[in-house]
Amino acid sequence: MLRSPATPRRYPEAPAYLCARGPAPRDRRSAKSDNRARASRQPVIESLPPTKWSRLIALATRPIVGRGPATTTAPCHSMARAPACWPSTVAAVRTCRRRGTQTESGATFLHLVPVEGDSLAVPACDVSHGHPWPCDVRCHMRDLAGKIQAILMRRRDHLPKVQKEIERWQTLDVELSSLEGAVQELRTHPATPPELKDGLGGFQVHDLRKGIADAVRLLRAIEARFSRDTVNIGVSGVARVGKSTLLQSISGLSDEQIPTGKGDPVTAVRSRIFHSKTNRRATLSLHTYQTFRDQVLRPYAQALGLSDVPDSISAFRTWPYPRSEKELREEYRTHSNGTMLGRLLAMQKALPSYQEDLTGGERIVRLEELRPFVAYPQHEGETRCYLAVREVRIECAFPRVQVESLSIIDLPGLGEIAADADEYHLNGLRNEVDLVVLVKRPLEGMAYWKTEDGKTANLLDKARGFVSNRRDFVFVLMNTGGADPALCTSLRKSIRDLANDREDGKNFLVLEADASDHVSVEERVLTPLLAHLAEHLPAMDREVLEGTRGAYLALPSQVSTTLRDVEGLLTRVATVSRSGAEDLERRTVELRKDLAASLAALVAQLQAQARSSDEDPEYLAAVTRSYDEIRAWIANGYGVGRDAWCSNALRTMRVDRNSSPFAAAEMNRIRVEISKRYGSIDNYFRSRVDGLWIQVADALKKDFGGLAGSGAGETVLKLLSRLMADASEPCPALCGAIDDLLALRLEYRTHLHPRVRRELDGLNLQVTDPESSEPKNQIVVEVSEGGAEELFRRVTQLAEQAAWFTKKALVREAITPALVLHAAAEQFDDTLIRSGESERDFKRLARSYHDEIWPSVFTGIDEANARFAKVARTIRAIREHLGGLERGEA
Amino acid sequence: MSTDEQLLYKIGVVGPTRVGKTSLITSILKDSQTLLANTPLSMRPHGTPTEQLVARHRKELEGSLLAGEFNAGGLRGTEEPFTFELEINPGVPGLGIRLALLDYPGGWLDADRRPRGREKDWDECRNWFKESSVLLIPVDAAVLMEADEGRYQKAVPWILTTTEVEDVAREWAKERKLRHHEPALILVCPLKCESYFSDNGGQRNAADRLLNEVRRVYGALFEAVRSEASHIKIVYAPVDTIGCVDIIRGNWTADSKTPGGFEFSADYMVRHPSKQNVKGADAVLVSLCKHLVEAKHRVQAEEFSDRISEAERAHGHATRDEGFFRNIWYWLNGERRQREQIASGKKREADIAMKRAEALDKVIDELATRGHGPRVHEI
Repeated sequence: MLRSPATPRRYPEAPAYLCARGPAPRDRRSAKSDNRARASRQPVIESLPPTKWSRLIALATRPIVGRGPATTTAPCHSMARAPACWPSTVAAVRTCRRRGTQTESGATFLHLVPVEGDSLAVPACDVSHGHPWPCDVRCHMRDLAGKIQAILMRRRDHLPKVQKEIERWQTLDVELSSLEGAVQELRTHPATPPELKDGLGGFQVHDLRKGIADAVRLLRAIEARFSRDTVNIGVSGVARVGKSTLLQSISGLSDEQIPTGKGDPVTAVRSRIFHSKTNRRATLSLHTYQTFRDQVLRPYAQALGLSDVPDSISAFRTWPYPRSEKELREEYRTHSNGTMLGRLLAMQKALPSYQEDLTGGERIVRLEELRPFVAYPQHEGETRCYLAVREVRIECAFPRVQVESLSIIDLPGLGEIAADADEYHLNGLRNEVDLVVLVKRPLEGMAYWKTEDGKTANLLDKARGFVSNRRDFVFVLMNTGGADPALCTSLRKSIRDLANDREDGKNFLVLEADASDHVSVEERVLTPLLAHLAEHLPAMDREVLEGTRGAYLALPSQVSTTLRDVEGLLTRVATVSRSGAEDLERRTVELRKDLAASLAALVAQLQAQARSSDEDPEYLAAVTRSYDEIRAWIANGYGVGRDAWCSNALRTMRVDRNSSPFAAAEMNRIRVEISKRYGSIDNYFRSRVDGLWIQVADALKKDFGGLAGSGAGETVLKLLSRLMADASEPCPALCGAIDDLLALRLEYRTHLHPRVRRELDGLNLQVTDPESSEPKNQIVVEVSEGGAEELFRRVTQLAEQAAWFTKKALVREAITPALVLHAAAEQFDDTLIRSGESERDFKRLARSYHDEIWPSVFTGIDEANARFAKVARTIRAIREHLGGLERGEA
Repeated sequence: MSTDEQLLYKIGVVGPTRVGKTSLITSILKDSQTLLANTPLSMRPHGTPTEQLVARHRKELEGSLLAGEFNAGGLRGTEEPFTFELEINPGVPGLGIRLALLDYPGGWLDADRRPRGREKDWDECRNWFKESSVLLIPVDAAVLMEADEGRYQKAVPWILTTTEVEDVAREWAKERKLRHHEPALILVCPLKCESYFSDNGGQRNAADRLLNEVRRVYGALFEAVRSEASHIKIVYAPVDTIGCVDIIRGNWTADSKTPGGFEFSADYMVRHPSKQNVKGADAVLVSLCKHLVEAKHRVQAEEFSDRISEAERAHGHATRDEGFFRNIWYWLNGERRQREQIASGKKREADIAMKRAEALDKVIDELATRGHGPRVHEI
């Protein structure tokens, strides 16, 4: 066992934290001798095979249900020789089962009995079902560390969804704000019908937005909880109960970093202590004066009934605070307020010692320099640097704890400042701590469950948030170090009677340990706490998540109801302007008919072109231009000149001793170049497509009036498409028709090249003999000057031929562009005029832009409708958004 | 056709200038022995002038090909009418078929181009056409196939003088209608087809398109001919007159003086090896021979019928009962013997005519078994 012989140990028969009436702590030496004696008396059961061990464990860890809460502890009742796979220092294992429902798994502890030394209690809650057994506390701790790490990992899986949810709620908040503005505008406009004004008078989204703000706040808290890299254990308790001592035992830090004191409270700043193997430092989060004023001075002022707080440091320096309790208002003249006033005056007096630290931001200090920033001064007149510190983050290696992801949060003595300050601290703790240890110490005058303890428990309930079971979140630690056994018994009884309603563990699970004994703290505090977290944290997380969501579950339906009310009102009042609407509808029908006629004429014209055998002279000119350019290029010796070409051919042929490689390469190059040069026909195609766009745009402009703007062709179409998409009532079918037309492309490479490509096949050196089907080289020349000339002549003939044949094929395909344009226009006409959604979209378009389409016809009506439309559009947007929230879409 | 001892069949060749009339004829003649191999037929030029002209044309062409060049307009055009005379031997003794093709300047077809003072010559040509049982219509395939743009296509009828050819064909068909008992044949022969077929060394196959173009451009001619005489057979037989050339490009040159507005020429390259390889002429020749043999067979059958009638008449005359005394008198003065000799001679002649007709029957049967190949279509 990993235990120093010099460290005597005491082990009760059963885990103390499960045992409300466990044996009283005994003298360490006598406990050790007892254990030795017990070890020698222990009946050693014969070695059991592993399978029997499993059965034994299963039996020992099986929960016993149906008997109700148990109040007694079963004695240890089984013992077996340790299996061979365990360390040789472990001689036997005794299991001790706590019957009842105090923990979900039956909470069995194993007492490992070493060959020499004291036995060691290890929670067995996680070793059932054949799980490998921890061979000692360290091993067990490592196992817990793994589990806790896994829990933290799983937490992060929830993060994206939570963040998305926050984003959605925030968006909804913005939209509700917009709706509020739109409704306000509509309500206050003189032209709005009185009926509608009255109806909208009761519209308000304040409560909804407050609910959203609460939801976001709760979700932010969850986000913070799930973002954490550590499990956080908060240590709380009034002054002088040994919190700091406990933290020292856990962290291995000294008085210099975690001050302890015999009398007055000494811990002034909330500290977070992280286990870190690599860092040893403290990071101070400093107040600005504003945060100091709001978080420190204001609670004091409120507690003391002071009306105001100083705005600046200089004002604070000379602020006329009451000099004594007597100067307080009568109702605030209490003893505790007198103490608080004294502290406030001390803060004011000590301002020079910390005012330079009120800088905000963070500062890293060595642990040796930390004390002034976290401890109250021990003597009057000392600096009060701690007042500038909001909180401190301490990183150091915990000497005996193997859980990497562990953080201990030192909470300043509750009830020491003011009630509001306590709540402030606790609100900050919500979702920031996974578990709180409330330290109690059985000292004279404190060995009972005080009223303040109850208040503290109530405050901790707030910090517990949605964790349903107080017992899961708050542990009571009875610091027995140096305490009188009688007082211990008294406190134990008081806790049972007052905190747990005379039933052990009903409200709080109670641990007992000597806070100054790090071994005791490790084994009797940290180990059970971590085991508890490993077992219960996922369930607590679930409760927090479900609780948070439950808190705003009704919110979407509340929003929906509000929207429905407004919509209903708009619908009723909309009938007031029916005559305008009817006129608009009639005009819309006419508009659609006119447009249909314009487009039909255009389509007919394009159809005639497509079916005509007449050639398009521009197309022919484009093809001929490309052909002529190609011929010129060929005549010019393929861009290099005939002589240079022949010279190069000869040199290359001489290298290859063969004409074929050069001929093949050149023919490939020429073929590619010819094809590329015919690609310049794309200019013509572009002009044709542009032409179609211009024709269509002209047709639309004729009927759409000012809506189409003053541009032409593509500009007009793009403008219309955007307007249709962004309309107060979007017109997807019309917009889609225009977008499809704008997507029209006529390209040589895609439309014509595939059809004419084979005409270039002759420009391959190797061809297939059509009669024998054998491949053959169609040009072979001598490797000589004459051969090079001959090669040029013959390649030129083939190039000319390929260019000519391609030109002929392109001319034959001249009808294709006309067909494509006609098909595109016909499709556009069909989609725009005859699609299923056409009529609906025309109405939408007319409603959205009737002022642009029919200027001055709907003035007044238009403005009113625009206001209506704005409200309706906002409601629609919120509805869509709300749908996502209700479906819980991530 | 004349009714000479060896019948002379006239064949008309109707096509514009430079279309390749001479080339077609020389292609047919040049390798006639090869082309008619595996048939009972043989053909040879009849007379020295024909032999000389064929030889000269051949030399000009071969010279051009050996130089690795081919210029379709480079061969000497026909400036004066010339009659190619040929003789087909169907393998039946005494039944040689003589045929004559009239070559003339193609420009004469077009009244606007016809030189003044040659109207009489042209009339003779037209008479020749009327007397011909076969009309050869050579067509410049390149003109049809390289007219890619509409404006060029509009010029095609002008270049191919389709209207004039149609007029000649219609006139010829009317004549054929009058001689409806005689076989009549039109051979439409697209020439310079090397670039549009892949069965003679070419890489492309545009055979269908060529046929369609012929149908499109000459459709009116075919309808006119059919409407005049439905028994006329129209055979489409494209010919590679050179065989080893491939078109590089067509050149359409605008010429406002030309009725169609464009002149056409084509650039060709010579395929290796630069050796003439006529293709499709065999189908033309066989079609021609088949037609002529059938015609000859009809004549022969008529002759046989006449001979039989004469033999029967002579036999009846020789054996007729003239009365007792006259019979004795004829026997004494040798009249009876003379009559019997005449009857015997007539019978011999009838037998010979029958044998010839039977022999031609066989030739026709044999020719009928020869297919035309995939290029040839009956329209």
